[in-house]
Amino acid sequence: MKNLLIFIIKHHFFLLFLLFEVIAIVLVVQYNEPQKIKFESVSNTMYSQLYSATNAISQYFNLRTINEQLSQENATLRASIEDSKLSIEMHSEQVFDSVFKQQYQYIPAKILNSSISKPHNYITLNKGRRQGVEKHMAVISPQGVVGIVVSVSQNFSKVLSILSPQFKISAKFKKNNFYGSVFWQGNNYRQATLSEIPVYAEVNVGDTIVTNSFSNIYPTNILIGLVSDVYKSEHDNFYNIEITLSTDFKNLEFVYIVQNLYKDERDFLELGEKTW
Amino acid sequence: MVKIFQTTFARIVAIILLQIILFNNISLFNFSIPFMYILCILILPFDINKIALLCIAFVVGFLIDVSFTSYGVHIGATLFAAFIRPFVLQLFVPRGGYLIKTKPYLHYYGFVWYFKYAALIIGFHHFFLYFLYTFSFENFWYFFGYMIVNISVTLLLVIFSQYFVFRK
Repeated sequence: MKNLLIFIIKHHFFLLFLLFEVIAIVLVVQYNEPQKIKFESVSNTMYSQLYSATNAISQYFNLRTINEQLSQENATLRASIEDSKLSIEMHSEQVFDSVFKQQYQYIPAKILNSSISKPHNYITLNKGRRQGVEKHMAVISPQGVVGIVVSVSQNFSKVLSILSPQFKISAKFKKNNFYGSVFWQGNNYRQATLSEIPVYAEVNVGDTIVTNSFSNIYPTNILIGLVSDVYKSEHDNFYNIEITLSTDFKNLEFVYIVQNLYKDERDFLELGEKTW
Repeated sequence: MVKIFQTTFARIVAIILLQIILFNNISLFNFSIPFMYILCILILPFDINKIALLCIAFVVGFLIDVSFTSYGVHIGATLFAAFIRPFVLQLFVPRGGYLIKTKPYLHYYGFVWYFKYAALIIGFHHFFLYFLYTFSFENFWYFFGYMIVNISVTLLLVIFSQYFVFRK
């Protein structure tokens, strides 16, 4: 206290000047509009800078919790992606999505008659024109690709299954995008052949083969089968790949008929240009 | 002593009146108002009490501010001029120091001394004044030119006053 008094007495000139000067500046800011605006803008900037600085520091302390929350959210999002894929391609009859327009609709059907041992194998389904089935619709099962609708009656439809030499389906590797076509060679109902895969592609036994987007009939990434045997043919630079079909035609009861809502548009574009 | 006080007080009042009535209405080159009232600080005796010095500066500044309706601007600038006055006097102390019974007039200490003394105080006064006017250092060079003109005019008038009014 004594020291303070001594300090005040010693520097009374400067302190009094400071006091008066502060009064003057308060008056300036109080009664002069332009100076007032500038003062306020400067003080606002300084305040917001201080605020953001403290905020940055406090955020640093929260990083751990935020990281945990984010990783949790990532996990849920990842799970939901997997779920939605499954539901679009396999189970659900119709997927409602606010982001994407619906391209495929699924009509569930029951198999009434089926063959696997003939040169051309057909399946009969219990859904027909009345239920919205049309010619050239794809047929899939939860296990994978089944076939394509070739003729329709009022309440039934006839499906050419993949177990038919005339039926070629465009396919690709799930791990990369090398594509070829899958066709049945007519001997074993579990086996089919994948051709047109170039030799520089890396192919291993067990690779997954799925449908690709070339087909205007099948949705992309429908399971076809797994590679069971790979050998190089002698007269060209393509692999001959044996695949095991994922669909077990002997043990098939329920299938989905796939309706591509944009088929006509794409057909018109692709085929129309060809004829032009 | 009482006489010195009376004459100084009378001169300060006269200077303020002159500033308000006459110099406020002169604007040289359309923008330069000579702030002659700084003479109130310049003519104060050497040995004036420092608190009295600041109080006088405050009152003078306030009166000028009332005439300009710019409350605070001239108070701040005049206070600053009063604050640096003792240091300026110390800086330019002549050989043998300031004599008793003399005043900080050109008549006693010569042109060069008075020019340095007045120019420094007027310069600081104007710098502070324009800082309080603009409250920023944007357009600094524009205001710098403005200030140089204003300082010159004010200094010229102050030195004239030393030849014609404050002779003793």
